[in-house]
Amino acid sequence: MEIEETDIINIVIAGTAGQGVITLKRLIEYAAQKAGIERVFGSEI
Amino acid sequence: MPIKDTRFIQESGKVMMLGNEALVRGCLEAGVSYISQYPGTPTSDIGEYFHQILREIPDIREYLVHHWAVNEAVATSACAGAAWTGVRSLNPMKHVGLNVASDALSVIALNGPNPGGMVIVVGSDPGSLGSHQEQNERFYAWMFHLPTIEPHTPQECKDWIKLAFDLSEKFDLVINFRTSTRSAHSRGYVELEPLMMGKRKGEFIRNIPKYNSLPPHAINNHIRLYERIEKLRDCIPELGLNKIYKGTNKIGVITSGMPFGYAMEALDQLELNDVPILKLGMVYPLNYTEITEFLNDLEKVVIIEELEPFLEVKIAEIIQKAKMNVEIIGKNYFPSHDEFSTGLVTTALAKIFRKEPNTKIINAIEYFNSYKDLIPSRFPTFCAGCPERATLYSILKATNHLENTIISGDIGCYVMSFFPPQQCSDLVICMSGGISAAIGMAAKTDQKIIALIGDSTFFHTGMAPLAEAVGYNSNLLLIIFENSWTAMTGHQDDVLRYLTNKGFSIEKICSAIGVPWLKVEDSYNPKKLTKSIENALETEGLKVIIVKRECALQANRWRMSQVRKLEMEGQKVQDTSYFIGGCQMCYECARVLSCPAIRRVETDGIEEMQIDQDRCVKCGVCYEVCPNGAIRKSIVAMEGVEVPFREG
Amino acid sequence: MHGLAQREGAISSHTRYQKRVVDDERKNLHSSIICYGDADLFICFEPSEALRRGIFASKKTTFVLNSRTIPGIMITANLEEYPPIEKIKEILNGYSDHVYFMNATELSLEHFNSNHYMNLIMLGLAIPTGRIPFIEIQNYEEVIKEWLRNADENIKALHLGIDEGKKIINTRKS
Ligand SMILES: Cc1ncc(C[n+]2csc(CCOP(=O)(O)OP(=O)(O)O)c2C)c(N)n1
Ligand code: SF4
Ligand code: SF4
Repeated sequence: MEIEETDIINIVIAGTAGQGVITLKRLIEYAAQKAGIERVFGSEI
Repeated sequence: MPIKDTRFIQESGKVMMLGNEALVRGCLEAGVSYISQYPGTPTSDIGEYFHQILREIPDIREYLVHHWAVNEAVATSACAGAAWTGVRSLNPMKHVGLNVASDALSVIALNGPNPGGMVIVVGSDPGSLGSHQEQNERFYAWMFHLPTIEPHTPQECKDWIKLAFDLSEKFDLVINFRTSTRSAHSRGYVELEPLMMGKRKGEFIRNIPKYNSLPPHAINNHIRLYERIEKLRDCIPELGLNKIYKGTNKIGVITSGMPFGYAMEALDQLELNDVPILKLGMVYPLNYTEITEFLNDLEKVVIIEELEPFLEVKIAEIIQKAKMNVEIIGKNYFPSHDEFSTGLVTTALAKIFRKEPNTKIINAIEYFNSYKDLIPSRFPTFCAGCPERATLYSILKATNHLENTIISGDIGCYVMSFFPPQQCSDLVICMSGGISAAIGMAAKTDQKIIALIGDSTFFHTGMAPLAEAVGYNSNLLLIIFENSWTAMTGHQDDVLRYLTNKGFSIEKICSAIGVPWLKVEDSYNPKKLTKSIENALETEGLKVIIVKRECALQANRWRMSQVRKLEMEGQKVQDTSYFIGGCQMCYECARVLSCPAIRRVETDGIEEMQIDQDRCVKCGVCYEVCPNGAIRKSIVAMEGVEVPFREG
Repeated sequence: MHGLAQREGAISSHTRYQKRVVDDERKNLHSSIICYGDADLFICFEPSEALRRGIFASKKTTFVLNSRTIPGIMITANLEEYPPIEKIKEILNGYSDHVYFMNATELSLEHFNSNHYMNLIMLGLAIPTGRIPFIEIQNYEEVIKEWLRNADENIKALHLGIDEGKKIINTRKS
């Protein structure tokens, strides 16, 4: 599948309390920032 | 947890923030100098960020004070007090917190916060994602004339909270900054601006007519409030809060906050990019000219808002006054309950604009519905080792599974009592509603009554009803969970902590109020606690049992940090573990205690219970209660240092 | 962290990103939650949690799952049933062919004597699927070093996940 730079990438992370869902979400977002991604958004709940 | 977080203190740059983080940053750029709040989702973390900042930069403490208040009414009046000395104060609360604060706020709004500025942050919760109810508290904005700002992105959270303080000072109005569980916890980039130190000291200047509400001042202040709100109304178009996205379609959309995002994405999916949109950053008051100009070319306007129709009513009022011929579409297509989503808004807009329904969304819903009954329930439940769960176990034992017994529940982690399998709560109203309802029940029924309350709730509003129960010697048992934390909302530094540091204690308060029957127990000793509850229920009149045991989540965090420290020092640490051998499948641990660290497994066709070692916190309660002695305890490295849970 | 939602409850989060924004401002305004059917990637720490969030999935979705189940108290109490793992697989295969399981919890326990590294191991499985594009492994490493405790272990867990993940994905391809 071809991915365009203007495509929105949508990732769902699911688990149960205490498994580190939010930690992984933040890690991906901060890494995206480091990678120079122009827009990062999303919801923590 | 971040180790090097400079986002709140760096002077400039572009950083990634949650809505609430951005809001805190905005306050620091606005020179806020006093914050008071009682925790509540989705605003609790605001106070935590301020605490983090105060911890990391002690020098700032002279300019910035953060208080965890005992309740919202105290916090709101405290913020007014600070504003009246001429500083900027911030008062965050959850949506129901506004109900508690409303009495104070009704007067503060009349009087006005000048010479300082005051902003309340109200975290709404459509969908009840972190609350015991959902309500549309925008109606308070109308009732008390609180100009109300609703951000959509973290950038707006930061920029607009600054603007909110400017407006509050300029117009002598309390500004309502309305976030939501979703907007507070959504993330995005934020462009920073320079920080500004808050005022170190203010000064109160006497002004009897402004700060005293009774006739004639109450009426004069009401007149003044109308003048102030009208002045603000006139300049709304210049504030840059509201924005129009032009289009040629004869059906337009008015929306705000998070629903704006759903609406934009929905219109894009339906290829309706010609629809004019008015995005309201300020939902109260509305500027009539701004609205009528937007409506001028339209035949219909779709109002997209969650919960009860507020904008719909206010816009209808404008249409009616301006004698316009525009049809309003709102709650006839959108629900008045629960949170919206892009899927929901797309489906409704497809009908309104007579578009083919979006097949991607329909397929997603249909396939999901085809298997959703198979999804096992996973409601929130007490953590492994929770002292509150262990207390419910003792209640179930002492009352023969609630025979002829009413449990009047309350709000804290123990709000989860009603979930199966324990199902140990018959009602929940609001904070301290449990003991209050119990007083009325005790007056009218001979059934046994147990009311529950936590330590934070006790200080919030629980002492007054307890005093009343003493006064009437109400025939009820109050169980106070003294777990040393405001646990449910994420373990804030309890009021209890600063009070106990001053020698205050719940026992002393109960004795001083005159509670005739008082016991202090530990839920990790279930046999003794059960006996104590039995005794209490055999006694007429008011009884109080304080269950003293630290929240297991916090206790375990502390314990593990001690263990890590000792191990780093090269010391050997004693380790206790619990395991199950010879399980008789009586279900005592699974149905009556129901600790989540215990699981049922099947090996070679034989079922038995097993303890997940990585989840067990070693409270020992299952070991105490197993009627078959099948739960065993083993101590590894007996010679090592013992690290027990901390006491009291 | 955010109230009622935790305490052993189900947790989910949505991350959305766009390498380059488009010129039309209207098209850059989105919701912070994903639309039904729009997810490119599901990272699931518990198998049944994939089903709970299934409304966001469609045929374009790739699933990576930790195979360790957490049955929950109702299942332990034998008052409810946990769906057989085969059934979960069948439902997810009804979405797409890209469904990958890994015992990340066991790997974490085995290599680190703790279940704390399961999430980074799962990220490791997700990366070789190619569904988190435009982000390099060193970007993650930098963030781990700056933001996480026990950075070395976390980086090791990430690489362990990537190595094990590649095996799983390649076996499926061949
Ligand atoms: C008026 C109001 N303010 C705030 C809240 C949010 N809230 C829910 S539970 C809770 C904490 C209760 O703490 P405590 O009584 O000590 O119980 P614990 O969670 O520690 O068991 C709070 C602040 C609320 N529900 N209602
Ligand atoms: S957070 Fe503490 S009080 Fe709340 S359920 Fe967990 S152990 Fe119990
Ligand atoms: S000792 Fe028993 S009751 Fe306590 S946390 Fe472990 S399994 Fe649960």
